[in-house]
Amino acid sequence: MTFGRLVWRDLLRNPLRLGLTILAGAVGVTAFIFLRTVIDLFYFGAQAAQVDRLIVRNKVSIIQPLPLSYYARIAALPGVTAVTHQEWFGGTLGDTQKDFFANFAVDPSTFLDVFPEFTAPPAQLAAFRSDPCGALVGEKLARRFGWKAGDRVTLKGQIYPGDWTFNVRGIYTGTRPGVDTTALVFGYACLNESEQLPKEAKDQAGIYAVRVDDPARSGAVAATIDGMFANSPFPTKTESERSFQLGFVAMSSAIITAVKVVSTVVLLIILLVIGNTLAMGVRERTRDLATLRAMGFRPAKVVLLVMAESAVIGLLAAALGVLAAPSLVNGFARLIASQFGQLPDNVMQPRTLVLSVVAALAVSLLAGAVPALRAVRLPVAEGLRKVA
Amino acid sequence: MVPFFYNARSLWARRLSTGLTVLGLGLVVFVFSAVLMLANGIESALASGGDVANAVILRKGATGELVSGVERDAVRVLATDPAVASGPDGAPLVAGELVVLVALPRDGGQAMNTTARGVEPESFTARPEVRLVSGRRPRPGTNEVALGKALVGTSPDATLGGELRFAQQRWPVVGVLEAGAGAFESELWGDATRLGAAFGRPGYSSVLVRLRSAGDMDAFVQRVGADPRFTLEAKPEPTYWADQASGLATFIRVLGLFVSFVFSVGAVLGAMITMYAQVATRIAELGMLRAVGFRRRSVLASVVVESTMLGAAGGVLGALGALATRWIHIRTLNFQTFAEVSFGFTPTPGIVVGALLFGTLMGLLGGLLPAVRAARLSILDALRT
Repeated sequence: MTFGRLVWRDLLRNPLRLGLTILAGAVGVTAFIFLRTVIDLFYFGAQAAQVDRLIVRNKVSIIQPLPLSYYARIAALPGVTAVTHQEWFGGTLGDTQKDFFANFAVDPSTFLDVFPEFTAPPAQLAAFRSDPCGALVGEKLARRFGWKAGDRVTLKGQIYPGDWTFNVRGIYTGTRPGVDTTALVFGYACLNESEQLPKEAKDQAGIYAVRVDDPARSGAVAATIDGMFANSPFPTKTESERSFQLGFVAMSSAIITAVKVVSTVVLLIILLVIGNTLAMGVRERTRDLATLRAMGFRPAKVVLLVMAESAVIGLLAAALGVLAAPSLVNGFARLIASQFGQLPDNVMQPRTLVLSVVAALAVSLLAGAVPALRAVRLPVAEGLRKVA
Repeated sequence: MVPFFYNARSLWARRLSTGLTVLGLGLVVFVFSAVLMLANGIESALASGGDVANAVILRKGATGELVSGVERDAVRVLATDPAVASGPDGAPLVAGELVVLVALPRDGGQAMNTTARGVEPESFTARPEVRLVSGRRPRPGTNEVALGKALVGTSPDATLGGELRFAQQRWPVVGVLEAGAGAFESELWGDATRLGAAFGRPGYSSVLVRLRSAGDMDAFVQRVGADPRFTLEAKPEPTYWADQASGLATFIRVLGLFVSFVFSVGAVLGAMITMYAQVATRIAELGMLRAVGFRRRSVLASVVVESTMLGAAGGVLGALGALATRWIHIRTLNFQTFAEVSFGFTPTPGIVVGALLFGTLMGLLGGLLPAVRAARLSILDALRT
């Protein structure tokens, strides 16, 4: 009997238990993938961040505006290739935030210079730029509400009182996977020149996004910008897009830590279930294993036998879990979509899947090690005498 | 019926396997109850910041104080409403409040968004639950601020006698306030006019109105909504805070229950494995039970009871573990107010009972199929092995 065949026969000794163990392991692997994906969701913005982009915001806090007049002064700085500004609009379709999605007022003429990862057909872009109240809608958002070019969308302003109607001029898509296509952007002029806008809110920008020619110099450019406005009534804080996004992540760190703890607990549970099964199997087979050793098998080989079994269980569980995970993650995404807006399509990363397979394998080997060592520690004679 | 004692003994006889299963079930129950306690903690942290006789008035359609705006004139109009209570000095208990976010540096360099609430003297009178733990109230017309209890020590200068710096001004901390573990404990309170000047905000974000009695609330809410002089909306204060908590609490609940569900499937499978093994190794014993006259259904019940005991033990373990998290405090960003909130794990009797039931149910489910197998054994076959 070859070694592989021996492992195979041992595994099939109790097919029901094998099946249940693999199923339990698969459930754990799925839960692990799911939780890691939830963590990735928090970092989603930071991942999409470009190294050559800076975000300028009001130093006091993100909700304080900056004057529109900063635009020309930032654009004139050496090393700056493009500048655009945007303002969080925070409008909702209905009276409540049930149908939440992100919406911004942007500067149509410069927006795509700084954010080239958003694209739309040239004709739609031209239409967007020539209509002061034109809007570009992300592909995924457009699918959600069935919007197409030419539609009119009315948002209730949360920060800016009243109803605001925009003309959908185009649908934007991302040039690479991972670009957020769940937002609506519209022309800044529509907001700024409206009579609905309170006078004190005129000519203000929420943040400036700046592109620099050389990412290595972005630190210096950021310092120049902050220095330029340090003694004005509106001092700025400039940081790379990545650290800007990570700032939000840091504020949610408690939740992320909790999810990380839970994902570790998942691994622990898999460990317990697989370890329990193997321990039972080894206990029942004490006599078989002793026989093997009496026949001349070395202890190392016996350990290897048990470990090989656990590795097979771990890998099968991982395979099953990886197969089941996408539907679960998508189901969750649908559940929370109404509260937190649509999630991007490809949130589940290959990295997570690989990690989960490695973790399942490591955990199952760990689970196998203890029973295997117990098996070989027992003196052969005693093992032979033992009855189940 | 097979006596319970038999089941307890047989579980004890296989301590390792029993222990691992109970631990697995316990972990699942732990996550289940910890999540519910956390969601409950957020809700009570935010929702307890409200008195039923107080109304919060926002601009119509605004979802929070941060995005709302109320003009100064409206405060004077509201003060004339007949349902408004009067303070000890006879002045109506109406306070315009201004809410802004400030980024306070946190130990370690990252900034945290903190709610700064500009208040008027009536804000304190109208909220009896807000008490000063130490120091004194900020004086009107100065930059003095009082810190919520949860903020003390989170930022280098956030202590009594310290001096915060934001909006290019200095803000000395003169008091620490407590609000029955409510949301105000995560805020800093200063003078509304000074704060408004520093942030370039001439109006208010909201108006707090204390009514003579909670019974006047419905009529007052309707009067405010129908008043043509402004487009404002009144909400009872507890309702307002509950709304502010709903997003984060829902997120944690959905995430947690989802995970608990997935976990419980794994744990039921684990219990099933254990019980199948128990049945398999005890075939002769079970045959003996049948031979001495116990019926099939008694054997079935016995196995189910044994598995249920496993589950109940897991439930107790998990619930105890979850109760131990009471001393942990969590600070995180509330997506709705965009500011940090501080809250803890808040257990309720319902959650503890739910955790115990959940554990027991998992054990019960895990034991059913093995029990059927045990009951189906024929006496002869069982005794022969």
